[in-house]
Formats: sequence, C-alpha cells, structure tokens
Amino acid sequence: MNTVEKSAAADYVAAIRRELADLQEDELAEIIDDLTDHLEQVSEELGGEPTVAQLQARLGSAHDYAAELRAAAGLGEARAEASGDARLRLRRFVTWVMVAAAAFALLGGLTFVVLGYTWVSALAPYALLSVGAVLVIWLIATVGRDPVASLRDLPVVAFGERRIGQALSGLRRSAWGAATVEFVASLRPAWWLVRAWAVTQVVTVLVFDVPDNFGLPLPREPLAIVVLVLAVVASVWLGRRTSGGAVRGWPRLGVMVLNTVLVVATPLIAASAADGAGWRYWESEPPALVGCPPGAIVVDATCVGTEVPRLDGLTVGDARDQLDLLRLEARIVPGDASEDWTVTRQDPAPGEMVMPGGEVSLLVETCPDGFDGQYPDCEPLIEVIDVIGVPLGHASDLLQSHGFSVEVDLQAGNADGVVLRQEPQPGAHLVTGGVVKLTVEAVPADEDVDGS
Amino acid sequence: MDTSQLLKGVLDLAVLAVLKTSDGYGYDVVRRLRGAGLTEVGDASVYGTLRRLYRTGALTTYVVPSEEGPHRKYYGLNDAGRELLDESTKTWQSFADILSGLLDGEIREIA
Repeated sequence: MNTVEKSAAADYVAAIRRELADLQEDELAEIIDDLTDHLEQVSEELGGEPTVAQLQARLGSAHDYAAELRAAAGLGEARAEASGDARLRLRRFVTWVMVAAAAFALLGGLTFVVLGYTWVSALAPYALLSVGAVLVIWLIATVGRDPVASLRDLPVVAFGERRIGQALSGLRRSAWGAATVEFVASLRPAWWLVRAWAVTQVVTVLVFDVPDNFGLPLPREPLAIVVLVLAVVASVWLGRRTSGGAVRGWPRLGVMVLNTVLVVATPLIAASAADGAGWRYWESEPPALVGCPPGAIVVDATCVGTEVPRLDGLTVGDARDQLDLLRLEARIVPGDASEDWTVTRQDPAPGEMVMPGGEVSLLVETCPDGFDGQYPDCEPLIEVIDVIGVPLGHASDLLQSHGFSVEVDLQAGNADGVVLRQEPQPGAHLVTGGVVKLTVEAVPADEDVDGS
Repeated sequence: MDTSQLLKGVLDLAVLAVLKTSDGYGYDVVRRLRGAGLTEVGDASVYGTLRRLYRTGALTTYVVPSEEGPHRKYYGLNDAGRELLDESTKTWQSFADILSGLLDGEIREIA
C-alpha cells in the first residue's frame, strides 16, 4: 500500500477522502486503505501511471465514486460541512505555524553550525521545544486513529509529498539515480545509529549533567556509554519495526516527529561536541577566546587568564621582559626607575590571575624597608630634593648632605648664580652617590647676589 | 430499461454468489462480476456492498500478505452469509417466477 506512485491515483484517493471527511476516523481509514489498494490494481490495469482523465473514465469522478460508495455501504448522506470545514481550517493554520517553527529551528541550527554564535545556540532548544509544543496542539486538534493519514492530508504535506514523490520516481528512472536512491535508502541503519548517538548526547547532558566534553564521537563517561548502548539497541529495534511496516497510527506519528526533531538537532549536537567546548554553550557565557597568549591558562578552550609570575627579586628589565611575553602591562613605581633596579613588591601577587592585557604593578626599590640581605644588589634610593632657584653654593651643599654627587654645568653661568635646571627632576629617585646635574643661571658679574 | 436500477437491487445477491464460489478481494470480485456479464457494475458499489455485508455480519475478512508488498483484504462467506445467500436466492427465484408469470400473462393477452 505504501508503494502507490504519488500521482493522479494519490490525488484521486485524496479527493475521495475529502468527500468522505465527515465519517468516523476508523471507518474512513479502512475505506481509504481499501481504496488505495484498489487504485493500485486499477493503475496496473491502465498501464502503470494513469492520468486523471483515465482514472475518471474507468472509475467515474471522485465525487461520484464517493457518492456511490456511500450509497452501497449504507453510510448515509454527507453531513453538513460546517464542523469539518472549521477543523480543516484549524489544521491548516496549525500546519503553517508548525512549518514556520520548524524552519526557524532549522535556520537557527544551521547558523549555529556555520557561525557558532552562542545566542543562537541558546535559542535553538527553545525553537525545538516550540516545534514540539505546536505539534502537540495540532495532535490534540486532530484526534483520530490514523494521524499519519491526517498529516498526509494537510495541503502543505500533501503538496510536498507529491513533489518529492515525483522527483524520486523521476530520479529512479535515470541510470545512476536508481542506484543512488537505493544507496541512500540503505543508509537507513546508519541513521538509526546516528540518532541513538544524538539522543545519548542530549540525555547525558540534561539528565546526568556531565559537564565536560564527554567525548566525540564516543562518550568517555561510563554512564554515558551505558546510555549509548541502550539508545542504539532501542533505535535499531524501532527502526526495524518501522521499516517493516509494523508501526502504525500514533506510534508511527511519534516516530516521524522524533526523526524530524533529531534531523534538525543532530547538526547542533555534533557541532557542540566537536567544538570541544561541549555543552557549556548551552549553560554559560561565551568564552573569550581572542588573544589568549602563550602561558595563559586555558580551561575547556576558555582563556581564563594568565598567572602572574614571581617577579620580585628580578631587575626591572627582566621583569618587563617576562610581562611582555605574557602580554601583561607593567607599571613600574616609581616611573623613572632604571632597568637595573630591583623589583621588591608586585601587585597582583604571584599566582593570581590576570586577563590578557591586564596590568601588573611593580614597586621598585633598591632597598625595601627591613632589608635583610634578601636583595643582594640593592642600594638605598633617595628622593631628589628641589633646588631650582636656589643659589648654586647652597644647592650644592643641600644635595651633598642628602648623599648625592653634584655636577655643575657652568658654561652659561657662574658660580654665584642660582640653579636654573636640575637633572634628575625633583621627586625622582637616585641611589646614594647618584649624580645631580645642575644648570646655573647666567648672572652678570656686576649684579648683587641675593641671599647667601 | 435502466440496468443499473436492477443491479442495485440484486448486487448483494450477486456478491454473495461470487463469494460462495471462492473467497475474494475487492478488485477480484469486481472482475468476476464483470466477467460473468455484469459489465455495468461500479467498483464503488462493489466495495460498498462488501463493507455493508461485512458490517451486517454476513462476511468474514482476513488479510493475505503478498510478495509484491501490499497485503490483500479477502472477504468470504460465513454461516450467516450462507444463510443470507440461500434466503436471498429463494426470494429472487420467487420474484423472478412472479415476474415471468406476469410477463407470460401479458404476452398471452397481447397475443
């Protein structure tokens, strides 16, 4: 019965079905079954693929056939179409909503596979759920014993089925087409395995909350393996029963729905698993994968940051180099510290995490407070005092009393002048004995010197 | 005279008679009826009659799977069906006799 060519004969049957739509579902289903059988034999009689005209010549118009059948079977006149019509409209509406939801879900899934955006992947389960919900509504609206036939009767599905059927029969007629179609059909057992795997992935994540990448292609967790084996057995059993034709009515519809949902969902599932990030996409914020430098800590392809190394005890130069490698910013305090001074304190502390590009402050001293030989080469750092505007002699005394050496640039001025510029600037740090260069203002020889 | 009217009246009997010879499926019964000379019989009428007779309990039905794929639904007479056939046959005979008698009388009158 399921091998009737999708053609004029199928249309004829569908037309009669519509004429008899007011009958009880069970009765109607049996009648249509018999009718389909009969049409097949009549088609053979008429040479294989009769046209509508041929069928009508042989059997009468669909309307007449239905009327004659009614009369002979004692089924009574067709009842008022009102209720049947409303139901049909409801079914049509729900079908379109279902199609829209399914298209939305499929589109979301494909976008996810191609572009990997997390917000889409968050939408995908809801899209699938919405398809499921709409399907449930439709099923409630079309209570009957043969939901598969009801489904086939819907305009969208009937149209699609006819087109696909025509395409397939056209394909079968070409030399390579037949072989191809047969090959694809022979892949059905492979599909049983694939859908078992997909179901396993979903189940282990939702039910057992296995957080990590539980394995592509096969799960590593023992529990997940058990689920996989069970799923494979169930799927193969179901597949064999379905293809053997033993599954009808509601169970058949259930299998069709399951297959549809899984066909849409499997690319999503496979993409997730293959990504190595596993199912974290479904649960949490997207990982920042950009610019994860070497040495950074990567957890499940997530860049969770860089561990700050121990930098105290190193010279400024070495510390800078290390931080550069890790793509971290160094902030040296004081800013004018020379490269061979020693880092004595760091913030954040060694072992703490900093995101790539983050800042690490390094306090540099040549001798920290409480130095006790920990930093062998450190020397005391002294802040340079401000001697600008101070007469040279006085300035020199001050600087020397602080432990600095003084160099005077006398080319423009004379020994009685005031300090115009000092180098390094006031506030800078120098080691003991460090040199402060003074530039003295030029003073005319005959001017009185202030102060002194 | 419109044979289809006659046919409607006796189709039950014809179908029962065909099934008495051997069980059959829908298409097969149509073929046999046409082969016997009832060329006007409609497929829908035969199917409808089979269903109605089954519903009234005159027929049994069973499915025979075939190698080409589709399974055929066979109808056959049960005891009630055989009884019905006998009664209908008697009715038909007496009706035919009465009608023959009427026709004979008429012909005699005309003659």
